[in-house]
Amino acid sequence: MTSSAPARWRFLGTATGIIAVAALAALPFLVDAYMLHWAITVLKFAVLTLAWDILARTGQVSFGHAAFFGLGAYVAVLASSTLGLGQILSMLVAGVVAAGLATCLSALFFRVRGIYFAILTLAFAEVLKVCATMLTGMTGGAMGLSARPLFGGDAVKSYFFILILALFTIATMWLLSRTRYHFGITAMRSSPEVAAAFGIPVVPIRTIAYSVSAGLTGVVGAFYAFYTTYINPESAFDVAISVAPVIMSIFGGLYSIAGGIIGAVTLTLLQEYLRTTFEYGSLIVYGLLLIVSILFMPKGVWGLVSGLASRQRSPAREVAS
Amino acid sequence: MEMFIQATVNGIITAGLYALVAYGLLIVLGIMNVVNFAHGEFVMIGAYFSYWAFIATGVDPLLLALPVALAMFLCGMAIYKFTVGPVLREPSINQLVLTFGISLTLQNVALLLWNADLRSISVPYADVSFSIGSINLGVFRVAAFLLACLSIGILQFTTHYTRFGKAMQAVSQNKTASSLVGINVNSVHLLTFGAAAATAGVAGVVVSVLMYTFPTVGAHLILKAFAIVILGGLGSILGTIIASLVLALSESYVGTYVPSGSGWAEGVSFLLIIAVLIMRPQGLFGVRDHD
Amino acid sequence: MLRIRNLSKSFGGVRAVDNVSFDVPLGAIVALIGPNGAGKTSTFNLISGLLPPDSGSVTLFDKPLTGKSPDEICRAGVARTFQISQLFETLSIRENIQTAALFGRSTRDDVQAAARRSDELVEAFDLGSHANALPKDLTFAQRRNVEIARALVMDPQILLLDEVLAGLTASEIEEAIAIVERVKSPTVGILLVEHQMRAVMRLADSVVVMMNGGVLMQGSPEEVRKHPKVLSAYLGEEIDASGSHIATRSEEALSLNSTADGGGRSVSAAAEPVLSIRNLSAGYGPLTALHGIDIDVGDNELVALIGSNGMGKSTTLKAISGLLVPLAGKVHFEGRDVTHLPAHSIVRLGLGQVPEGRQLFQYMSVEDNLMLGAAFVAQAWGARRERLDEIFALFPRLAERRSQRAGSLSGGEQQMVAIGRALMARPRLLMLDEPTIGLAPIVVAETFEAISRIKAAGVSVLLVEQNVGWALRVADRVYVMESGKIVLAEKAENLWANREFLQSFGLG
Repeated sequence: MTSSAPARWRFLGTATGIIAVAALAALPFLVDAYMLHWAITVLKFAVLTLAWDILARTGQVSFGHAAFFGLGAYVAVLASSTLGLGQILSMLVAGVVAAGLATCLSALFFRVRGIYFAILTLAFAEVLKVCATMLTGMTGGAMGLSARPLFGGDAVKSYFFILILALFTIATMWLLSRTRYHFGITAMRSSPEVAAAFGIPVVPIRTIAYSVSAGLTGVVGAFYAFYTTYINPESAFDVAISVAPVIMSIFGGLYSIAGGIIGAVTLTLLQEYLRTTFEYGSLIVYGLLLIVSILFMPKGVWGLVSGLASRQRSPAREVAS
Repeated sequence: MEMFIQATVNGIITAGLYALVAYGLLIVLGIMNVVNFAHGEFVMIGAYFSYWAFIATGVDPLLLALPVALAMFLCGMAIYKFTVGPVLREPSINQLVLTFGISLTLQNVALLLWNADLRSISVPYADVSFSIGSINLGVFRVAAFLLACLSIGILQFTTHYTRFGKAMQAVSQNKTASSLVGINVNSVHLLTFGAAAATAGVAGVVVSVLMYTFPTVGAHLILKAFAIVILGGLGSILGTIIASLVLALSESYVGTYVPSGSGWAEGVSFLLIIAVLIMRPQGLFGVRDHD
Repeated sequence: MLRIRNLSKSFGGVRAVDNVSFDVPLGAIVALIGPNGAGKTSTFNLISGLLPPDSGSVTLFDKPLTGKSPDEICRAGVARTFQISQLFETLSIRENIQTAALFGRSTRDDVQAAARRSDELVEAFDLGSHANALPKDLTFAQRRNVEIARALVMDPQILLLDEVLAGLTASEIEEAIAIVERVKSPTVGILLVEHQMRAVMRLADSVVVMMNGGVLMQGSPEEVRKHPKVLSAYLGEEIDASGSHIATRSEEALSLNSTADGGGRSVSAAAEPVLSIRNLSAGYGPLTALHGIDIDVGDNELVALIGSNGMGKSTTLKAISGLLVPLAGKVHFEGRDVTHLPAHSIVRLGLGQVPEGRQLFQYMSVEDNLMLGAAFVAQAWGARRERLDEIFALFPRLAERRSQRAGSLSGGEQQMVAIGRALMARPRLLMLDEPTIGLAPIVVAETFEAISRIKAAGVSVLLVEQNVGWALRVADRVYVMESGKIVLAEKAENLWANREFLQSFGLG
């Protein structure tokens, strides 16, 4: 009994995972182009949310991931148009550049914490937006840049690209959760000082987390640029890009893969639906959800679900012992 | 030279508005340690209030400052009571996300109700201006600036020379000690939040006069207000005023002298935020004793 | 061996750690003792790298640790616990220990091996049934054990234990002492900061006594115990061993008038207490710190509440003044039930508190601080000017400093402001929470003199104090607290005659 309950849950988890991956692989052959676009959007936000969560797990909440999203978008478009790199290579370069920038920034940015870090990152994204608008020679200014469509406009290939990126992100996070760094990161979140007193290399972990988080966000930005074939400063450095992962994580449940996915899927679909329904103000629901989440559901949907699940499981554990 | 003086005057007028917006953000931050993202939306609501009241009645918007302030005072207290108050003991990031949610909601309600149009008020004397030397000053703009100054003066007087003001100072410095000298800390929080919303309402009136009224006008202003608060510190109104002048004047000069500068000017406040936070990691927030 | 040489650190002009030198050899237990505010925890923070020293050095086997980051120092083999337990609240107990195992001196990436090693310690510390619980669900003593286990699992060469016995009950202390004795081994050097003198005497091989940031003396427990300087640092004996200071309280009645009907009452204390507490319980989260206590304070009576650190004395005052909501029980003030009133209403009724750590309005002037004491108490506001003059008569030094910023005053002066601020409200009863903590002996004497004069002016006083010698001299009656319970209530003069008896409570 003692071992069977966790084993059963693990089996359920694995089974769900396999079925989900199979369904996702089959999806493009089952749905129309419109639905496929939605699926791509959902996956895009799932990666953004999970990437953001990697940094959040160390205890720093960024309100400015649009900086890396937009940077990735511009770098990829410029790399492919001016340097003539292939699109996939351009997207990788975008990720590397974003990660590199984050590495450089971390020594400066992590000098502040909490709300000040949030405001700092927000301001940084805005600075990049201004740069993108004003450096017209390179970026085309407010007019933006257009790019060749990704995979020659083959939405199914685009879908598989973003799906693989999502699975890669999930796999990375899952593998990380099995190493000692998972413990180090969780401990840092409680208190970086105390964590350091127990030998946890706080500074390198934080730097790497920020870089990985930024790199993945940069790749998504690059993907977005090629997928939509057009970027401008307003769309690439949109505050909404910074805020989406915060909202999705908090709604779904912070610091967990499942929470991030739940948040990204639910809110992206909701938002897409509302946007097609209302001309203005579709973000009202977003705002209200945030308020309600913080007031009544601070651990998010996943926190609620896993809380209920563990409450159901705990009597079994007592019987067993 | 003429251009310089004109840029300076424009900067000073804008600084009055910035300081007023920043002041409201600052008292909430100083007294209950909450960064109120929705403060900008309070300004926006104030601006629409002023705009619609003007459209409906034709009364000079500057005369509407008082009723707008009163209405926003009540709204502010209600918002505090039902949203911010209950999470006051929770991690600051929860509060930040909560006020962000309020901001997002109000912004989109405004979008839904009034769409994204830029609206401006034109009073009969809008074009009346007077000249000092070669400098041209619009009477309406100067009046709006004076309204901002007057509001700051009233706030300043309240916080320094009244018993309630002393209570606000006490609560900002030490909550335990405050309740031990008989101050009802909750009421101070409630009234402070209301007062901050009221100043935002007045700032909204000024916005409707000096600039355009649109749903995201507050979001533009709030980031500038952050920059001012970070730059000026929590200590004295002097810090806030100087920071407002620094920001508004540098925006004005960058806009005037740098080629296609108005675009770059937008970035000034963000650069200030980044520079100050990185160079003074404790933030100028913590510095109270430079007065 | 851990070698500490000429370590110094100042905070805003105050030398918190002043030229401290001592050694911690492997196989030995070195105790660091001294009154609160002596600089013990700062010394710990300097050794473990949480604070950078201004000057001086720390070396481990001649390798310098100074200038290294806390995680490097930890991996070099120096593990520590924290005074206020700092568990990783989102990790389970097993994971807390496991985390330390994964990053400690013998760094390994094998999560399973670390889990096994953690499990050994979980069992050794009798935490088996809580291994999967979160820290918040543990008792105080259990959290302490997790703290120690988490430090031990790292295989340290030097173990820093910061007041691991504070707040434990007598039997829990015995268990903890047994644990430390078991930890002792030829390959580990232990440095412990401790208030429990009995434990220090039993455990330590050598003792370092700190006072005002510097090392007062070091030697064997026996030497330290007998040393007059140490006795005076702890008991304030050198001021006046005969207790004749008590004389001041009745003679030097000053012009400090209490609330309307205060001074002249002839009703006996027993008949109608000003403050009456029955069966009061209170706590923080899952931790119950007070277990149903009864206390009475009579009219114009000075009652002292004594006990060692973490026994619930401050909690008692907070539960009375409304800073902490009681779990059960009743508090009556002047016959009125004030149990669930908010703190600000209780103050307005005339029950003043001088809180732990003074809690001044740091950025306001002395005069503003004092005025705020009266500003929100209706019966005090009218005559605030007169009252201010009375306070200045009681503490003439404050008159000189009236326009200075409160935060810039010395510790003793800040304490005067805190007391003066509470008196501005014309309280009928004044509660003082460790008013002499961290003060120099001469200032301690002045403070107690002031307290005696306040009482002489007709105010009832409830005093929480660690300085037992002084408390016995000024008080009428004394309550002794241990582990959240009142274990003794007695007239002060009876206890004064049997001071040795108090040692059985770990006091004196």
